[in-house]
Amino acid sequence: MSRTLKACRSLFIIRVTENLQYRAAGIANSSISIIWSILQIVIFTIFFTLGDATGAAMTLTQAITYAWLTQILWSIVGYFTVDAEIREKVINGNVALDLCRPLDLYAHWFSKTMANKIGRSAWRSAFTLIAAVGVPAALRLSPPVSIEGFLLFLISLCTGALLCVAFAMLMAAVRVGLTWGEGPTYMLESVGMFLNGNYFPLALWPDFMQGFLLFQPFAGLMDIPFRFYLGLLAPSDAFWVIGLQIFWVVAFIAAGRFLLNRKISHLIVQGG
Amino acid sequence: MAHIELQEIRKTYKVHERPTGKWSVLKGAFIRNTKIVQALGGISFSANQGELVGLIGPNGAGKSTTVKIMSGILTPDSGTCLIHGRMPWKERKAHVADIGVVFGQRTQLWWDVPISDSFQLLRDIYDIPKGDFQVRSQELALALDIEGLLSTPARQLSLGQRMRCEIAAALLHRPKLLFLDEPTIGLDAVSKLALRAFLKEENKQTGVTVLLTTHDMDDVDALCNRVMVIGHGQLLYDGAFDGLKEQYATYQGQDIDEVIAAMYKELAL
Amino acid sequence: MLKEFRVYRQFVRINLLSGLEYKGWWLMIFQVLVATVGDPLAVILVFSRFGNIGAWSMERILLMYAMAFTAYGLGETLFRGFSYFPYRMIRSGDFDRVLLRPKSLFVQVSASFFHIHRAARPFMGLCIIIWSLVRLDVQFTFVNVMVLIFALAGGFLTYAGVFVLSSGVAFFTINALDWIHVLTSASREVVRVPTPYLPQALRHIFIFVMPVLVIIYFPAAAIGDWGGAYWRGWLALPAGAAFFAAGMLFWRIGVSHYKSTGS
Repeated sequence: MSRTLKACRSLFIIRVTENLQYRAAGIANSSISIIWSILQIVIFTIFFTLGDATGAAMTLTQAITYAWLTQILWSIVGYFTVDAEIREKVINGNVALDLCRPLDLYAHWFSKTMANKIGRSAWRSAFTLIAAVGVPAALRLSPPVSIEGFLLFLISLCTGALLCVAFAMLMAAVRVGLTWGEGPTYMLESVGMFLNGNYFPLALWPDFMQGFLLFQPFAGLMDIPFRFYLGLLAPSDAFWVIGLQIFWVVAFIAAGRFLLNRKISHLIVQGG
Repeated sequence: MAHIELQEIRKTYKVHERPTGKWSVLKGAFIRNTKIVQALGGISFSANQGELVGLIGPNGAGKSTTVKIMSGILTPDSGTCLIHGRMPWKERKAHVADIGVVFGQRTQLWWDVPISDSFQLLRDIYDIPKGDFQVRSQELALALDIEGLLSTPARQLSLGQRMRCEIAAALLHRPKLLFLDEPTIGLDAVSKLALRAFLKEENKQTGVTVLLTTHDMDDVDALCNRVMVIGHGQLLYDGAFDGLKEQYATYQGQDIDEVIAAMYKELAL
Repeated sequence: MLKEFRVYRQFVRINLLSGLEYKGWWLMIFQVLVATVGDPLAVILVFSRFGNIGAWSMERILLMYAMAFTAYGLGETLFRGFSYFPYRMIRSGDFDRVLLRPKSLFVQVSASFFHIHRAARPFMGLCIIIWSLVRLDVQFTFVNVMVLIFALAGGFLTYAGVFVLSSGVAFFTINALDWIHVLTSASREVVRVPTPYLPQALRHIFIFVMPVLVIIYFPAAAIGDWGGAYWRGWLALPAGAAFFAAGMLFWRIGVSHYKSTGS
């Protein structure tokens, strides 16, 4: 176990530094984050000012900040597609190669996915953040509501990042040994994309859905951390909300591990 | 007029390097060094229709760059190359209609459908007349012993079976020139021998020029009446294989691979 | 030309056959259909929260949005090979094989992948378009229907042009391709708001650079009688064709770069 941990740690470090090379790509890719945020802000501004915003649980300023945070942290908590390298291996049936290493496969892939996420997103996030505070005041990212709020945001963001990788791993596990394509992973991905709040902040969805929206696993990716940042969740709620996030992390890891191990042993029996 | 004519073909590549030493990773995030690497430094040769030419040389010597230029995938920096009177990279469509290419490591067959479906598609791609297609595919299936495999998807074939199908696919449109890039890699002894016998026979029957790159000297010995050695982007030897053996064999009956190794060593490759 | 089209058809056929080799292929159609239900979801949610903006009802926005993703879906279905090109063909070196065949590179690449289930998105889009038109009391006159068809054709060409353009750029870099989303998903976001309220800079970008407003808003405004001259509705097809031509230019540049570097 400790060997696995050690190996995963060095793998993680190598990956992150390797990915840091792609600075030019980071700049290019941050342009889409910036343009996307501005478009979302335009949409929010038009609807908040011209539509009927009386019942909204969020102000325009908060919605603007939400749009920026989504893009700045997109690769870390927004995007949970199966890691490209792992995907390729799974599709080509080259999982066997990774099985030959004296590592726990789940842990190995988990750290690889996490490392690729962080490494690849660093530049992009940095440039997007610079833009978010550099734009005219009407479009700008606001500071966090309070220091406590910010700390809770950071904590739940870390949990959210774990949740994100755990979900990606669950999808990878579903994909292993599936000869007929992307269907199930695609569906899982679509469900996650609806319910994580990137289409529309969850707090602005119809009121009768609010209870469900907070309890479903995908709120824990970015919506919950952002609510702490914006002050939509009080620090007194932190205990149970972050507990809920952790519950989903554990559930996804357990399901992913179980599925992956079962499929791998199946593959070995088949000689695939 | 010669059928293949290369003159002073040169090609360089740009490669990006990460800086080395302490903090190299961090530096690499900001600085990238570009280095120009010479792949071919002026290669010239000619060949006539119907020749069986072996192209050998260590890895990275410029063999595959030569083949890529001759097949029209790559444009050289300078020099001329005329094949059937055409510049491959200038008249791509007309040129490739007259050649066949087999990569030992990659497939040109469609992975999931029966071989016969792949052949049908190739018929449309090369505009092979229907009657001729029937004759030709039967003839090749017979000669390569793949009649029984035509209804099997490529992914279910063994490597030897697949390679035979690849060769048939490359010859369906009766090319005048056939490139084979390591065709026997990974094949068992029986498949190798069968493939060599087929290629020899095909060359005799149709007069197709065969240019093959390989690391298997037995291929060259068995097939080629002419061998070219490429190293450091230069043509280092061009002539009969026996001549090469004589020049570098230190004693009679020495293993071919040892002879070649001695040659690479002497030429500092 | 006819022969090239025949090759396209044969490629599509072989891709379909490949798909059928795997069990469960029919599930994919259903699954994509389910997934595309999400496309209009954001629009519905926004209107359920904020209500109409003046004359701008949900049906108007849904009409524009559905036109955009129908056009995108058509491009994605018929030019799947180009939308996959940067990820599936460049890295693997399969493009060498394309160069070795005596048919146009364009036809070969566009048909190198074909997934019938992708057609679920334009199908869904068409359903929403028709639903919105009925709700908006738009007359299905001959001229209106023609404008709509030309708009979808222009939109198809625009998005096909985006894929071709990104494939051209992929010859130079495959790590920095995310910006292509500005032309795909972000361009669809633009039609999620009432166009007259868009800031002028954005309006100009999405008319003159990436003509999404020309291919969506102008025709929709023409047939829905939302103001503005009717003739603008006819601009969709020429604008789409022009954008496609620009994409082709990038593709050509990319191919010649590939041939001179081989990487």
